[in-house]
Amino acid sequence: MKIKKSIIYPILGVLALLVSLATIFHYFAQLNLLQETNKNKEELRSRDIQFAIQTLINKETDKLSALAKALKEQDELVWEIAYYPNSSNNITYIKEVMDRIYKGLNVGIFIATDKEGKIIYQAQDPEVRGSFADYWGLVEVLDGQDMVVAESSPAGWSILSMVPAQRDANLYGAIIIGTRIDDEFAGNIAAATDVSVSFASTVGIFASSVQDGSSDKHITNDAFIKSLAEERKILMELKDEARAVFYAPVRIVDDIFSLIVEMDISESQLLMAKYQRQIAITSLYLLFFALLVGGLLTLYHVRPLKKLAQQAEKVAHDLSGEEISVVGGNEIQHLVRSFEVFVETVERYARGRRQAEAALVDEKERLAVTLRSIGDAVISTDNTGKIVLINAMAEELTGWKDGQAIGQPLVKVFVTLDEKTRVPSEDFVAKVLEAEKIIDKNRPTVLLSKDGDERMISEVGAPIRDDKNRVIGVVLVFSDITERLKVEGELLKGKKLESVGILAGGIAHDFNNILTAIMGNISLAKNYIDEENKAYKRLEEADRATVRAKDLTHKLLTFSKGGAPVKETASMEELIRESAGFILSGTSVKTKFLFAHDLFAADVDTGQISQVIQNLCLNASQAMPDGGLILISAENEMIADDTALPLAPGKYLKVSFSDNGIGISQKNVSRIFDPYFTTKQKGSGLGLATVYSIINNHDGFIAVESELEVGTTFTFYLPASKKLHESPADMQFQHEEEFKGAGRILIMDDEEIVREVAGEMLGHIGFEVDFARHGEEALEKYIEAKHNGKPFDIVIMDLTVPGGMGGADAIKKLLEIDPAAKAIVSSGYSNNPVMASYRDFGFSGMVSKPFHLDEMAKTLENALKTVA
Amino acid sequence: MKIRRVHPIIFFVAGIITLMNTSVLAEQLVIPGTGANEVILQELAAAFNAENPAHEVLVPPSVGSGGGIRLVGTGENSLGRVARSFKDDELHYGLEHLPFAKDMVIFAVGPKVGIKNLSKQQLADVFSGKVENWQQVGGNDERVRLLIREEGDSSLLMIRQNLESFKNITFSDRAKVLFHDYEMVNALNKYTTVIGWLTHSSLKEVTSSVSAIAIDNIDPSQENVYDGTYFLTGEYSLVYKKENLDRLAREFLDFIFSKKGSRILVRRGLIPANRQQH
Repeated sequence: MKIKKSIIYPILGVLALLVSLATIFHYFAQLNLLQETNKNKEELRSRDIQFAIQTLINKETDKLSALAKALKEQDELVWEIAYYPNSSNNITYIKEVMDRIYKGLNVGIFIATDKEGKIIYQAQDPEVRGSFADYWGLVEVLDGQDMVVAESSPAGWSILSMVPAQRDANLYGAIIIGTRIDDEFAGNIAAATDVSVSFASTVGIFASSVQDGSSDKHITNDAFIKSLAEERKILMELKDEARAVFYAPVRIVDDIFSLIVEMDISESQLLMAKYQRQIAITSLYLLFFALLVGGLLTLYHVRPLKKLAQQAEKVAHDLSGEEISVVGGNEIQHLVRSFEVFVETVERYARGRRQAEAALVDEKERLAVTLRSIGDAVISTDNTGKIVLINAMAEELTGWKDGQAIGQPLVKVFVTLDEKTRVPSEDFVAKVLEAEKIIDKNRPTVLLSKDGDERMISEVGAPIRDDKNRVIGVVLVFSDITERLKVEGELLKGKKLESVGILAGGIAHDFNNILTAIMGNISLAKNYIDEENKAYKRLEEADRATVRAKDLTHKLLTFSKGGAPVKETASMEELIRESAGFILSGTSVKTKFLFAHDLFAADVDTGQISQVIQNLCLNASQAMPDGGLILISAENEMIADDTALPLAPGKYLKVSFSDNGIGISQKNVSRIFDPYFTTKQKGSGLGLATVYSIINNHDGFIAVESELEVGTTFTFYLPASKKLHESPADMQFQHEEEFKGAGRILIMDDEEIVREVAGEMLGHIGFEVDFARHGEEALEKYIEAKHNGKPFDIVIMDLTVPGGMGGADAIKKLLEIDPAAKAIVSSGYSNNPVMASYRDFGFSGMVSKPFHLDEMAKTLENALKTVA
Repeated sequence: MKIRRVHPIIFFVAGIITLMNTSVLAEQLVIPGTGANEVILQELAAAFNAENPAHEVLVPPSVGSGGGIRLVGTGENSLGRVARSFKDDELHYGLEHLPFAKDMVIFAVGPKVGIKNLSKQQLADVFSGKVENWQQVGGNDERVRLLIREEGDSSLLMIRQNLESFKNITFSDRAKVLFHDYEMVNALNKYTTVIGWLTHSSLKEVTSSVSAIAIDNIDPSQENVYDGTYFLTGEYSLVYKKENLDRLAREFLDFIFSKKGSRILVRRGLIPANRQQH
């Protein structure tokens, strides 16, 4: 900041101006006061002078009056006046007497008149003898009165005291004494009062102590006239002449004159000038002192302003990191600008900080929410192992709730054991702190919660570093893998089961071939002997045993199967009654059925749907451990185009299972069909998953509605069959008719025993039979027979031929050769898709191994009836 | 609580009493101005003061009409007494002029003059010095003594206005110039062969030896003033600035124009004026 721009200068300037004005004001006020005082002094002086002069005149008048009264008693004088007319105007005697008296009188005028008013003798001026004394009041004196008058005469004004000269009743004349109010009179008064005095009437000055005529100018003065007219004193200063003059009325007997008094005021003027100088010097001192003090005070007060500005700039610099440069202006302007910059910077900083804080809060909130909501448990500690942060999941897993864990040592809260040895794990935090890197514990560990629960967890620890890369703590992330391990276990179990299933399926297939031979031979053997034969009974027992064996293989296949359902048209009512009755027999649960009388049949895998029904019934009964009622209803339902259900439009069967059990919580309802989800302590979690899978594989849909403590309703939809369901009674009826075969049959099977038994059975029915070991041979024989004019009426094809063409491929080729060809597929893999939809593959019929003679006969009969 | 409520009442009452005391504090009204109506106004003031002992109206010795106008014009006093109209150099004061009575100017003579009547011309001849002895105009053989007023005096102005012979008269240099009515009264009493003029109301103060004379045989009587035959009449007025008229001044003006005031004026030989304004 440049000095010349300092605020001191304008302040000093203003101060100087103000102080100057004050000083000037002070000067003039003092001067005015001085003048006032002076004037008052002059006024007082003039009043005293006026009073003194008036007193002198009054004394003169009184003196004259007293003298006249004394003269009146002078017998000698009165006698001479009285004698005068009789003395032939001889004034010798009266002159002698009057001159003698006059010497002792000390007055200007001493006159004696006769009774006519004629002057007998005038002491000071004998020449006027004989003239008439034309004085005011003389008439009255000659009437006997004493008179005192102010009289004007060509010689000037006089004070006259007149008394009659009388003895007894005789009046002889008048005695007049008087004083001239002339220059001498004025001079005497002036000498007595130390001023110059003039007397004036309306016509002008008639007596003056000043003889140079200078006082004449006063009679033209307005103040003079006013003083006279208004009978008041008027004081005027004649400064140039160092004199003051006042005009005052003065009474001389009856008349009022104007007294003009000039006073010397040079002394007071000198005094005034001296005071004036003193005031001026004092004022200058005051000005100098005020400026000095003002300047110092300004400096004293301005310095902190500069400091303040510098501090403001420094703070602004510190906050913004920018170079702050405020230039120009005086201290206050500089301070204002510095403060503007300061405020702007602080605002910017505060804004930035608020934003940062808001962002931080957001971030913190987001982190907190994230931490809370993530499935993983998170604990962070300081580098002494004390917990500084713990999320909800970690609290849940450790059992330390509601922030109890904060500040606790980690080892107290996070207690882990080795999964196998159950030895407490070593301090994980210490390990991370020591390693100063992320440590991922690959092995599951047992976490022992506060309330003693055990959970399997996986854990990862990472060091927390500050901005200087120093490790200041550890963050520990762990997750509950108990369920996962369980699922993994289940999956493993599933895989094991699958392997077993495949093995079982293979066994069942071979076993079915064997059973086919056994069953066929038994059937044939039974046909060859009478029923009374002892062997027949044995064959019957053997047959029953093979049927049991067939059931076993069927169970094995069911256990192992997982593919498409093998559908047949079935009555749902029967299926439901049968399955539900079977599973619920012996339980405390009652069942009520409600079926529509015209219920559609359905194309279903009866085994799978039976499993569905059994599972649903089992669930319901388990939901009602103290017994209850399961209401099972089935009705027809038309699903329209605009349905909300995930179903194709068409006719459906709607089947519901309602219980009044414990219900399922809303949380669990959505997961009820998930694999391995279970609420039962010993459930596999596969039951409802299988149900869902089966219904889905049947192009149906299953839903659940449940309310806790009220009950649960499972409802599934299945497409209605386009065919009418044939009652088992009808089938039984047809079965009872003896089928007599005719024509040629080609049996293709890789198993010789099967070929032999089947050939024997079909021959028994009436067919001419030929054999082929695999597809290729079957095709060759079919072509050859047709070529020879002895075509096969139907071909029975084994589905699976190890090392050769199976049934599926063979039918394709066969139909290529002869589209009218008919074939029946036969297999021990009853769950094979070809078996389920044999028509789609071109077969006219299907028979599962092992089969009875009548089963084969029936299938052949049906197949031959159909038009290729 | 009751005691506390008394306090404001006490203060209120005290305040009212203070106000009343303030309003009844003695006020003084000083009416400076001409000596022409000095006597009559002093009598009016005395009567007013007797009726209003709390106030005092003062009528100080004459400072002339001009002095009265100046003092009222400069705001020193609220009322002034005048016996003439404003001069040009007095108009700037912007004063109101309120006539309250009509008075006669009379010529009066000393007891040894021996004259009861003078014509207008005789009067002029006497005052100009042409007539030196009263014998010349039918009086006693006595020297004529003249008493005149200073130039600018209201009664002189009035005479000059109404007596043609006085318009340009040069008074004898033997005349004694007096400046106040009371001096005129004193001189008329003191000297026996004098003639002077003065207001009728002033004469009432003069002792019996002085007598008014008729002019052209018209006596200075109230009847002659009323019927307009006596022409030397003048108005007494009060001057004021409207804005400076205080309560006391208004009350005094009201008193002058009241019946009581009029009676005093009439008794003094004055003719009360109708109130024009105030």
